[in-house]
Amino acid sequence: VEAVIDQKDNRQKTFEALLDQHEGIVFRVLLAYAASPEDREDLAQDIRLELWRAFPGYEPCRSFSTWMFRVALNTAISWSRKASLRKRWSAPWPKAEPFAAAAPDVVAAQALRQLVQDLGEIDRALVLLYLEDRPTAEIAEILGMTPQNTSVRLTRLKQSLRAKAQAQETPSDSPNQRSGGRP
Amino acid sequence: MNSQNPDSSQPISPDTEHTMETPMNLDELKAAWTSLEKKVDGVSDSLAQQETAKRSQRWGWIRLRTLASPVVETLIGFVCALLGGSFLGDHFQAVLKNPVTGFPAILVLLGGILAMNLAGRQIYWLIQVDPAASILEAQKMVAKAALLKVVSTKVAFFYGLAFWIAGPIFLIQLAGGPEVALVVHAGWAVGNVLLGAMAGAALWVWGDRAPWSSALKAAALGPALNEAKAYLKEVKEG
Repeated sequence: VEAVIDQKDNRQKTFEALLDQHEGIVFRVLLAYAASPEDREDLAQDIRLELWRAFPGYEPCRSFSTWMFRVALNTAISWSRKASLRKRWSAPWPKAEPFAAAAPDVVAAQALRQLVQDLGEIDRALVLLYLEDRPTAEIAEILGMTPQNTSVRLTRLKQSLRAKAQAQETPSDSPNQRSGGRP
Repeated sequence: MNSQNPDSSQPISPDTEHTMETPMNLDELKAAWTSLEKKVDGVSDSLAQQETAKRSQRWGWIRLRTLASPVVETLIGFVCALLGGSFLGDHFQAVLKNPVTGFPAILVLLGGILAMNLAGRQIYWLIQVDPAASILEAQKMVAKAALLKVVSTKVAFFYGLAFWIAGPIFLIQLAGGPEVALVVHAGWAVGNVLLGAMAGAALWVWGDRAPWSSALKAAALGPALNEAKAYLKEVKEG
């Protein structure tokens, strides 16, 4: 019995250490899929639970971050599909919502969130992985697509995002203003 | 992945917020995104801090909530099938003598089997969903379960309305015996059943092609699942 308890404790410790180490993945999934702090808290709990539940099936020889992205994104997509939450999601994003982030880049990150919010849930996952600088092969593995298909889809999405970003830009913007006050 | 910043604990100031009107190019946006600090309002505590017991409890509740509807459907279907089957077994000779008296019980039995089948398949696909599977694969499983839910709760309900006659007659038969069914005007009952059969046949033949049917399914499946299905189709074609 003690051996079983020890094994369980070890598993929990390993899980918590890995979760702490890769917490940023969950954080960014939350930013992409949940609009309000309440929604983020709710989704964060669901993601934690699914990660814990799926953890026994994780193979240590494989990348933990890839596995974590899969679980977190699947949970987030299913979460945002729920009808009641979709209603909440359709409400405009709170523009002045405070959240802690790297100060100079927060403006750009907010602007990006505004662009990403219009994408479909799976396109959002694709863009999120691109923003995370994940290699195309890994993105394809997480999504379950071929690398070629992923590249094509990603190119289209980047073009679309670029066009949207340019469309929002006003002629009076100076480079300093554009970068949120950076020199 | 997470670059640390000494100011990262500070929320966005109103001044900073003001400058948000102007987006940057994609590379700048990407750089900004990757430099985000992990702390976010609403998720202040460490993800790993939640107690295991609480996690399991909440997970159990989420699972129960997801599976509650098909489980209830399965139970209702089981009761209907049991009652219909028992009635036919108990009054076998009477039904053989007057086959019309057996129709309500047969319809209730078939309805119960259909409900159990649809709900059982929903449970199967929901249990099959592996959160660690690739996104398209997992969403495909969810799509299958959601599609069955649409069929069992919306499509089957509307087409089942034509067979409503079977339920009350069967209940009266349960109380008064199989011969009670003969009191009901045969033309009326047969008309209802025929209407139901025709509606069912129409659904079978044209259901997938009819625009209203596609719209109904699309609305029930939601954008993510439709998107997943479109992706899967694209991947297969590619």
